Amino acid sequence: MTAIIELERLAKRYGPITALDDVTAVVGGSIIGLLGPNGAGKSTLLKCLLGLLPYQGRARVLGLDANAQGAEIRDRVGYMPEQEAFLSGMSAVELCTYAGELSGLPRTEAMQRAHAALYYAGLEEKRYQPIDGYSTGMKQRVKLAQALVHDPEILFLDEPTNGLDPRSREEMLDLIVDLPARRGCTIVLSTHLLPDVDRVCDHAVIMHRGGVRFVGTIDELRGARGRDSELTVEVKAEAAKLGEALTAAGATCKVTSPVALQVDLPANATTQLVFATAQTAGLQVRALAVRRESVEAAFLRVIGEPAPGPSGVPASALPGTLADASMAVAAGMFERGGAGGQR
Amino acid sequence: MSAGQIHDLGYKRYAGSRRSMGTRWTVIMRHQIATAWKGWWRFKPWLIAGLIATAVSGGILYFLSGNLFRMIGGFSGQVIKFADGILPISMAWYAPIGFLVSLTVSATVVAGDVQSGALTFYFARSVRPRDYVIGKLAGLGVLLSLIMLAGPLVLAGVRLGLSDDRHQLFELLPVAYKALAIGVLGTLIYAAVPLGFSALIANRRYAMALWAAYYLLLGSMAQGIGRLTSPTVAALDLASSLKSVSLSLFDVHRSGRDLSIPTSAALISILGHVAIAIGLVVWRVRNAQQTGVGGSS
Amino acid sequence: MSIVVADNCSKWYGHVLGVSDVSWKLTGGIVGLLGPNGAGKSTLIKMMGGLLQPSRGSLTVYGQSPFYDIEVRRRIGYAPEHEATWDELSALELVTAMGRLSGVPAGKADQAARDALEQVGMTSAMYRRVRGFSKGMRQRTKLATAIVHDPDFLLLDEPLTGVDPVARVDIVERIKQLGAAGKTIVISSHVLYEIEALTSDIVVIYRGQVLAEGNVYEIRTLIDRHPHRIRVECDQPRAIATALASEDHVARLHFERAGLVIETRDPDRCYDQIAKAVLASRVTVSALSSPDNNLGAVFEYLTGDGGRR
Repeated sequence: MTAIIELERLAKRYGPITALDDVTAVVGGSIIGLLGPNGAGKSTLLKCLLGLLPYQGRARVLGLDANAQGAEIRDRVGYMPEQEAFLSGMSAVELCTYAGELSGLPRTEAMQRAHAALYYAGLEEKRYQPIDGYSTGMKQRVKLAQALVHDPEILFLDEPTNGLDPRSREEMLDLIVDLPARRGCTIVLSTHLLPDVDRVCDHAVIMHRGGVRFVGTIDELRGARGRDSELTVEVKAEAAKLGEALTAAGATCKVTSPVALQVDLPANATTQLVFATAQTAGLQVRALAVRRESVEAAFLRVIGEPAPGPSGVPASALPGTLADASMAVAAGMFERGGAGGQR
Repeated sequence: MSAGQIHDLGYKRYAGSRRSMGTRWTVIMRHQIATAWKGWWRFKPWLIAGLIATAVSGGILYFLSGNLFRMIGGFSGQVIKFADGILPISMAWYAPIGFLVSLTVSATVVAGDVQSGALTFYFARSVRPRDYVIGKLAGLGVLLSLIMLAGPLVLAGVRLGLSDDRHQLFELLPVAYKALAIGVLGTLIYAAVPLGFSALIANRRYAMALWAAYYLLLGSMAQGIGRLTSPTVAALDLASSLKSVSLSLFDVHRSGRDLSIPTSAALISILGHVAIAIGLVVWRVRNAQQTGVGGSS
Repeated sequence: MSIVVADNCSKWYGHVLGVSDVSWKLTGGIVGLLGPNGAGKSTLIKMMGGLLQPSRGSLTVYGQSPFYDIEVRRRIGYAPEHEATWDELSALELVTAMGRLSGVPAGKADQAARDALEQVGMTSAMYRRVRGFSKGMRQRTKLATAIVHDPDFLLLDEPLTGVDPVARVDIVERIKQLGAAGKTIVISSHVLYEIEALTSDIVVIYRGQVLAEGNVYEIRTLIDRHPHRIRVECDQPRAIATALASEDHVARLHFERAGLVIETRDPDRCYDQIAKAVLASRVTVSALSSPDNNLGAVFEYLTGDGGRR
């Protein structure tokens, strides 16, 4: 992993308010999720990295010092803003060409790359029309294209799926996942939607109250792949019955719902045990997976906020079983098919 | 049969050179000019008006050069000819045209950019505030100079062309750089000052309205007060100041009709307005650079 | 008893179509309202909230038209997508004002506002001006304005947009509590896992019409065109494939890096046969899942056909 961002005691204070508190971190990866609650300091960090805010300490992006070489960094970095950032009265092609020229590309080169970026973003047909008439989905795509025109080495994406309907969200996430391979750039994705992070990111940086609480791979975040013997099992019905049967066979079980349970296999047993036991009991296994924390649960754990239990009380306040149940429910929700399915 | 081929349309990284940072403002300047040039109502009609004004003045200058310009008396009391009077008076025609351009082009620039989020667009890239300010000023300057500067220069050229001999030509050469001077002042006024207003208010229409109100209403109030009290107050009216400077540069005054605003007051007023306006733009842009990028949390 | 009854309801704005011939009944609980942009979700919500009246047909809430009947509007709480708040007010002032506007008597409005703000977790911030609020706090305040007059029916349009993960978990929990307390809640969102976290009952609006409604898993079983996908990650995918290939309910088998994906028209039989094959061939299964038995896939199947309908 080559480090693309290096921070050393990075600090930013506005009088009594500390936005960034002596942050030291080395960030690298292919698609990096930048996460944190409101007020964590993400936008301040971004401004410092782009050289738009003076700061104390050291911050290097692609080896360049952000205080001294901010403009150069911005030449090599693309930014897709959360809010609207257009000039009215221009078509997508004109805007992207302008964007390229502003980053120092000669005119014809900028124009060619503008077209290429718009093709990539899926705006092939509408690229000559004025942006003012675009739908939300199209505007997001233009924002992505204008960030790509000048061939950036890093792409900062700020809530790229904002306002998009489910299908457009999937398409945008697909575009993002492909970017490192097709455009050779590293992505830093800032978002509040953690299942998106689960789907596309391989690394994560978690911030809270001006500090970095975690830097590393997503796997490290949720604990390396759980031990193969710790499972969640879903059945068509009567999970309790399966639980009893498995317990009799030496496993440790915890029933979490009428159709789901957690199973810890005994030593030397494989998942065969589950199927065999189910068949003997006349039950049908419908799902089976190694227990892994969802990104959301891991995030909440890292920043120290407990996930609430079903009654609304923080899970840490509940005795044993229910707390685990809520974790399993939270984990199960985001692991089941769809969003978490492919990686 | 030849063997088939599939070409790799894959992506090529940009390995070329990038233009140096110092030239980024030219991109913004060109963009500003191109934007104003688009469409039929932003700039072209005023340019045509300017051309007409120049043509008419030039025509009068040429055909009536010998006639006496009865309404003007020189400082020495001499009555002067059209030939010498037209140039300074022409500012009275160019000024309103310049004002119209300022309304449709200059007064909405920064406000429009703030409203549409363009400042985020600019500052997420390697554009520095100075590139933006200089680029916009230069762009507006080029546009306005096509009317406010080119006009007087053309008239100066006609005037010089009317000289009887080479000796008179050399004598009259100052006319050219005086024309340049008032042209530049005029350009500055209608490029920079409304730009300042557009930076003051983050709404295109209000910025335009405020500039119009300031220029027209405040201007005529200043004139009125100036007539009643001291002419120096009238220097606040940009149009009057411009006219005064151009008349006094050419040593011409219209007795009775115009207020004679002291030249120094007029110049201070004009340059003061311009400086404050540029200051406002710099303030707004620096502000946007720090807050506009990076999202809300 | 139906809470909302739409009867051949249509709404146009000039040439622009809002909804077209919608006949639908909402009986209660928490229901997710989904649909692509421009499909008519906002129109439907606004009609339910009494901001619009149908161009044709009728839409009644608790038997009355919310557009005309003030009493029934007092039973409805609407939190719109856009915020048009008075930034100068504090949260408490804002919610109190909205409470008054929604019919809470003057003497009780202040207390009702405090209760509502407590219910959404804004007690500590309620004296602060809305202007300085983060997105999460704004969303909570909006929710408070929708519940201050203790309505029975809540309409929440994108209540979680822009909310950070910590607040999201909390607000979802509070919405669940409101549902558990007996309120009927309609939530519209583009972020499908938000809906999944709250309910399995959905209504899908597509091209101005109600395309599907009910429990998402039931709807899944009705989509024949897309046989159920079952993914088996194991060490001997081919052994399982061999066992299943001859079955007539299997529409397709394909191999992935980690295992096998089966498309079947009869998932029940398929699961049994997978279990048999696993035991017969002594296959070690590392994961078994149904990747398209969720809201995202159902939504995609319903709306993704691009016109062939």
